[in-house]
Amino acid sequence: MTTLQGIEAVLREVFDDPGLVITAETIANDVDGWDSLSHVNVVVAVEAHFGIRFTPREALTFRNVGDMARAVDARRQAR
Amino acid sequence: MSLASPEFLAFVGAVYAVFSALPGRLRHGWLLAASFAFYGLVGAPCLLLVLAAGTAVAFVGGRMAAPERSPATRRAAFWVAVAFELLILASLKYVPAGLGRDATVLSAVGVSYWVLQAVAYLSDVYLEIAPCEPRPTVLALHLAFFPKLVQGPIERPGALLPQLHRPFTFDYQGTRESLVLIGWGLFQKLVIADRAAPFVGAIFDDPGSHAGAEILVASYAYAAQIVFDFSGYTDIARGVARLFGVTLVQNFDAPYLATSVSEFWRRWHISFSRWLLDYVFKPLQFQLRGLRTLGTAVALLATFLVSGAWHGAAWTFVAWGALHGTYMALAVMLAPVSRRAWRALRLEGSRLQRAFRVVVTFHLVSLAWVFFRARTLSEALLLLDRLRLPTPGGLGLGTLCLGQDLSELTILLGSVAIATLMPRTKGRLAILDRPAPLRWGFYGALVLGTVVLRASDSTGFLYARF
Repeated sequence: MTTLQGIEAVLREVFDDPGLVITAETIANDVDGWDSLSHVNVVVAVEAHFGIRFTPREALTFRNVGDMARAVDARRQAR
Repeated sequence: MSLASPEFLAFVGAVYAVFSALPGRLRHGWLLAASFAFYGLVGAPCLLLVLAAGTAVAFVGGRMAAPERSPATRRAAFWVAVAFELLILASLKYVPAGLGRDATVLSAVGVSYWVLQAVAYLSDVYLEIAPCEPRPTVLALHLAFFPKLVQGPIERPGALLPQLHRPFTFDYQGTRESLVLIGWGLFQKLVIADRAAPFVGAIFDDPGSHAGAEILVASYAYAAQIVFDFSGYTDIARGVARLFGVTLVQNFDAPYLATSVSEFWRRWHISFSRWLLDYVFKPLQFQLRGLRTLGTAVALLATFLVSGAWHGAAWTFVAWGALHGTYMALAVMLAPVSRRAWRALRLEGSRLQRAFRVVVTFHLVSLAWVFFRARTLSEALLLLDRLRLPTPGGLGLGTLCLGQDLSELTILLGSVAIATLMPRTKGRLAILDRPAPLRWGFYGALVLGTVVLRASDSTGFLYARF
């Protein structure tokens, strides 16, 4: 399973949407329910899924799902 | 010099005439000189030194916090520069109030706005969201551009700086849009907001003599006054900026049609809400993420307390911020219960649900406005206490007029209805695509309506004092 597929599985669970499909270019506005208030739930769920901790700078500068996937890969390689 | 005054329009005309005549390479320098001159005219001239110091620190801080420096240098430069900017804000806004002096007299016009923009610039450079600005004059213009200097919108470096690097080319359509925006702005301020002011003042400045529906009507009038005052200012600012080829961000989007308080904040003073979201709420929420929903609720409450304090060193603003923070925190905590309840009633997504939520949200916001407008916290509480008492004059036209002429009430309600029918920017500008007779009829009606129907007394813009 790629990082992107892992994030997709997390987003499906967080937003209770089994049919959700994402790409690296997907942004929060593309996903029903993903707003600034629920964003932290996504961050926490992704951290738990991959067993990592984002830095504040990483978590505050994600422009799209692709940025998040790259940050996940960087954290996993740093372990 | 208010943006709704003839002096300001003459100033814009003079600046534009010289701007158009100058060669391209001198235009931004001219705009910067005009912006500093404008600041000298609206505030104390010594504020120019403060603005220059704040700009210099932002420029040097940005250079030192840029990605090519070492991580330690970047971190230190970022925090030192941000602390300096916030120190400017604190010493001009809160220290006078702490010393018992009138903060609105001593505090600097516009400082609250350009300081937030300087902090946004430093943060975005540090976080590598925006590049470091290599030209100090461009950064200075970014912070001081006169249409937005006094009252925003609060611009982001990523949105405004690229526009200031582009050479100006005359844009006929943009000029037409700018004139319509300025016209609408003047109509909202001079006809609606200034007309609503005496209705509001009659009750809020004498709270012990009124009760019941009088207070309710005055709070509705204040809800209208503040939105048309601020939105009017923003339209004038956006219109003037457009003349110089600059598009400022939209600051309002029919806020009283929001179906929740969180949606209200996505429609009201949008540039400030986004600033709070990105530079206060998100970092705080991230630090508290282990607490999940409770952490979000705490971050919301803290963010709105900051928002209240930004408006001024007074308990009324703290109470206003705390109320909004509480609304938002409760909404987050109770969201699953609320969703289940609407589902059980089989009304989820219905028009009835939407209408109910719009009405409830408007009244929650209006309740908070009582604290925002009242002169003191005790007067706000007195007004809310007297709301439950019987209305002295009964429920008639006399109560609705609040001591003003019936003609004033009629014009106020009529103009609010007209402005509400075209509440959004696109709706306002759609007139530009209509046939010439309709278009010119609209222009004539707008100018004539503003000149003939403007309120007899015009006050300064409400948000200029923040």
